[in-house]
Amino acid sequence: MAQKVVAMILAGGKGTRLKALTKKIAKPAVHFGGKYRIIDFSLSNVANSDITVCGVLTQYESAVLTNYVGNGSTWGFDGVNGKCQSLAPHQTEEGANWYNGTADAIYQNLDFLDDEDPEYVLILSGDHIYKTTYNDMIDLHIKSGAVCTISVIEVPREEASRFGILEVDSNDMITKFVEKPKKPQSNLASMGIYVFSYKELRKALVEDAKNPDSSHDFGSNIIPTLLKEGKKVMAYRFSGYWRDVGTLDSLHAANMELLPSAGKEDIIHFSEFPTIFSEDTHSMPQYIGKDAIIDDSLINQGAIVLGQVSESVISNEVMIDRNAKVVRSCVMPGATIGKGAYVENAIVGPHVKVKDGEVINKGGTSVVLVD
Amino acid sequence: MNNVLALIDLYENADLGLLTRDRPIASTTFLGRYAFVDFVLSNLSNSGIDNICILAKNHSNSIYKHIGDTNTYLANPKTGYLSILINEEGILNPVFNTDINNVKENDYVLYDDKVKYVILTKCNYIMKIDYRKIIDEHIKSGKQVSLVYKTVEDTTDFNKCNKLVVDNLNCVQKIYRDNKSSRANILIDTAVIDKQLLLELLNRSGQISAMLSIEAMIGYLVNYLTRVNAIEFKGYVRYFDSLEHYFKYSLEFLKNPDILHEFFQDEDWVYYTTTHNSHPVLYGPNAKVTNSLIANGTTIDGTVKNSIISRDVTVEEGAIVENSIIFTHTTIKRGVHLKNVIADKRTVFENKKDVYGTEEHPLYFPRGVIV
Repeated sequence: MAQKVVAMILAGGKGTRLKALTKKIAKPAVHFGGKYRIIDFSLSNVANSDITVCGVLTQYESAVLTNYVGNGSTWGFDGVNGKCQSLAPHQTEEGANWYNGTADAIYQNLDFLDDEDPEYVLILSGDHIYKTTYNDMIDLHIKSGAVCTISVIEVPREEASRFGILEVDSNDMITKFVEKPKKPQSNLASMGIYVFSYKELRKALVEDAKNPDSSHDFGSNIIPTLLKEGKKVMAYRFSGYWRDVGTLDSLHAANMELLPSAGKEDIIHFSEFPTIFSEDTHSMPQYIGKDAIIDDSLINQGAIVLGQVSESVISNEVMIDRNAKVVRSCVMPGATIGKGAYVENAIVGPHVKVKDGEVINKGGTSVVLVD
Repeated sequence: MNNVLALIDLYENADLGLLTRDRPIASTTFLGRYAFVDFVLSNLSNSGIDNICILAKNHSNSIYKHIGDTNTYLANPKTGYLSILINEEGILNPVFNTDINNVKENDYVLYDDKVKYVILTKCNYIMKIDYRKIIDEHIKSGKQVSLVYKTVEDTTDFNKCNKLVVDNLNCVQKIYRDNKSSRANILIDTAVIDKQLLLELLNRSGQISAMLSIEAMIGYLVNYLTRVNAIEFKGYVRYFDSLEHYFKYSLEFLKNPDILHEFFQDEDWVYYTTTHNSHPVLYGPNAKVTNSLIANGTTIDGTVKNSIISRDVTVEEGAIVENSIIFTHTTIKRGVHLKNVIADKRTVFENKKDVYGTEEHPLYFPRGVIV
């Protein structure tokens, strides 16, 4: 059955800036908010946009991610017209290649897209935290008759040089796209979300693949080429909560924003439409012990808290033993904080055991990773 | 174990008073996240038994709603199955709505040639039982029927159960009931019967009575028909037959965390239940929570002590919940103090400030009331 829109999620990145957290798993599979993984957000957004076919492009340490994505049933992609497929680099007649850039990753999966025969392709990055549906953006794309529509968000001028920056005319038609400009001429940053008309995308990818000088990247090559050719590329203005959790600091900060004291009640409502779906582990309800002290925290089922938790995000199957104290930290699934241990301003990796009495980052102002 | 079929009998279960007025005990909330039937289903699943039928007497809607996706419980939903069986004739004529007539109406489940043994069990018992051992012992005994019992020193809390006299050869001499509290062998409503014998009995049951029950059939077997094997179960068992027992045994999990540990900290014996998209528990800056089980989706900014809180409950700042069991979607507003209370789903505590039951007689509030 031909699909109107097929989503392709780029989830192959290593996420080097998350250090040891991504030693064994790809960045999109990193845990977030006590219950979720980063990729839950884009997959749920796709599902909530009534898009039923989705490809997840994996490369770096793809085992955990592929296993997690499975047949997509967690996000409801196992319905009658549904499909959710992990697409790792594979061998073809032309040989075997790793994905060499974002555009190349899609290019190598044109067969998958041809089979689905979509009118439009939604290309997303699998490592952002936000809640949305893409329907308005797709509508804008269709109505404007553009070849490509890029979702943009206003960022502070001083930070603009970290992003791909777009310049637009009075109709929000994009006139210029510069990756990480030294002197940004605008504060509209690309969110790495693109809607393409499939025929045009296909043509652009095939052309780009022939170019030995291209780095096969949407931001650096595909979009600038389309603009050079005078094709219509539109900006879609996104407003709302959107976080790139690419560094330990930003991952920690985004977790802290979920706490009641942050006053962002509207974003914590992950269970309200557009609902963020995630694996619901077969854990018992969390057990809070006789001497436990908890304030201003987010704690997932299956956790056992016997000590003290303050301003922290605690995942499932975490054990916080007697007299232990966890302050302003995120503790990932299966980790143990031993008796009398102290952890402050930290990200404690999955299944890490903090020994009895161990003191980590007491009074420390910068975030540390415990792995 | 594809040679075993399990029938979970929801007929003639002792009830939990008002709690089970419009739902069977099978789908009644337990420990904040589970329903009673989850324990039987998970014990069966963990024992490798994948052919399971629930004999529903009434309120089957509530069971369908809880069970939802049967994949939750089965190792392989293609090779095994979980069915909810209804006696349609019995709905029109309740006098004939018996468990035996239900099995007779749905006797196709017994046609499977692979099935040699049938487990008969109920939902009123909370226990962690490995049915593989029961089946092994049954086969070793060479008998056609085995009954499972638990020897109890003080039987006060089991007086609605049948008791067994077991001889030195491990055969059941007698089934009886009395009000004495002295040491006895309690029949924990778990039996194994050779399928062939069950089929013969079903054929003959009409000649005895059109309203015969499985319980009466077992009595008939012991007294008139065959030598019945007795199998002792030595683990933790609680029999739920009243609102008071429900309250007492639920809170026992908090009084004695060893029980919690035994049931929920065993990686090889997981308790499965329906999954939800609720967010992790939010603890506000004023939260004070001790010795409690809290399910996901809940927001707490008040005090919770020795209590069991289900999904999506709100405890506002200044509210106190003590020694209580709160069902899903209930709200406890500022200034309210609950003690020894069972609050059913979607209850709102707002106007009356002090709501106290006693440990022996908890106050029960039905679904949806505003207090």
